[in-house]
Amino acid sequence: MKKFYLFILILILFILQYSVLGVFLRSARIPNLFVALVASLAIIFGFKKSVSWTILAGFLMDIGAPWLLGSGMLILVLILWLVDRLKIVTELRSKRYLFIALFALIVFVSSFAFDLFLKFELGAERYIFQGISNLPGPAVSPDYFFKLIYSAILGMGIYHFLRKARIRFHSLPAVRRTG
Amino acid sequence: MKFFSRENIKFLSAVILLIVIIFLSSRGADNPVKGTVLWLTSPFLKTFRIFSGAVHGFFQFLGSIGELKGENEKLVKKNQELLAEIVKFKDTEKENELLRKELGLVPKNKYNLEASFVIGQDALGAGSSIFIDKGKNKGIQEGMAVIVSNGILVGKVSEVFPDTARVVLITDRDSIVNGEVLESGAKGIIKGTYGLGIMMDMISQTEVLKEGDAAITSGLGGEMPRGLLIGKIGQIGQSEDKLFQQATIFSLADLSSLRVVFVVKKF
Repeated sequence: MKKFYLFILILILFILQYSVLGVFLRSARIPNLFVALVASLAIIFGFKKSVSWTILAGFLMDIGAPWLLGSGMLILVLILWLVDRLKIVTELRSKRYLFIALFALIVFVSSFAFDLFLKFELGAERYIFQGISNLPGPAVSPDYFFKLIYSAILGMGIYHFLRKARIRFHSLPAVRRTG
Repeated sequence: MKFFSRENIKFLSAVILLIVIIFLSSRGADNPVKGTVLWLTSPFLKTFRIFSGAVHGFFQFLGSIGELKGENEKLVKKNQELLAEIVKFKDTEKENELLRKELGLVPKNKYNLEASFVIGQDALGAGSSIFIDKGKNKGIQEGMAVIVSNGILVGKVSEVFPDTARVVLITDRDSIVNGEVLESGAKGIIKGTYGLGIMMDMISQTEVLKEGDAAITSGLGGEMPRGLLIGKIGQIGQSEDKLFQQATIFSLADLSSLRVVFVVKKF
């Protein structure tokens, strides 16, 4: 896949996340597209090839967010690394429905993990620095549940796009996994 | 799996690098970076926001065609009520002018407003802040009140960049505004409740509140003008320590679909 297209995709996700989706969805239900992107990158390209793109996505995420620059990037890199550890998922690609269900579950859990990690991270930042705003973190509410569901659904779209584009361009080979 | 594999070393290096970036940001170093990137991206954010708003509006219109007749009847009735109220207000206005003359007061100045488009929203936190397309270059400063066209307070400026600014909505848990109940004069603090709603707290037990009373800004502290409408008083209750009264407030502005807002630069 040409790197330029991946760059454009990240920019489009940034615009969708911070501008477009807010018009159609209630703020509390807006999915976390960056987490969905990172989960897709981890599964398609692996950690090594995706870390720089994850940092770029995290950078744009932090630009639009009220927290310190670097906070979102750090969590996204952590999620990329964790999803990359789940090697079994990539081996299930031939079993389409099982793979789709597992991928959706991964994005669902990753979005939840993102909010949870971020809450702890901002808590730690508040402890060290002053004037850092706090976040409510994951909540037990229908809105939050919808947010996770939407993240999983849109994650599948992002995964599908990335996978199709990779097959088409072949410029980034799939990561070779070793036990 | 080796602990010091190339992948793990790359992961650890990235983590260390990002922790350094966070430490640098804590010294305010991220502000110019955020400002520059927002300046570069704000035309795209604005264009897509306006376009999506139009698309959304079109579909909403299509969906509401069936309800138009009933709504029209309601509006005609409401219009008649409002006309009657206008007559009453005109009378009050005349009386007000006379009293001002008698007391030697200068006419109340209109606010110096800066109209701004909403170009984005905080989509990852509690969803209670928005981005506007005006910033320091247009004289916007932190703490300025942000209203919608009919004078209803929606938030205040929390972060200013050269050509954009972040506005924390009144529903944000970090938002605190000095408020007053118009009818009784009861003072209190109006704050957000996790992006879900607004409440008025620290109201003295001696004050008498009624559902439907109007909550306005009190102007205490001088940060905001007095008299900006915040909403109507809803359920009234007691604070946890029973020392004060609390009341939920229903905002009169639809904070989830803001398109254009006005920053109060001078008052």
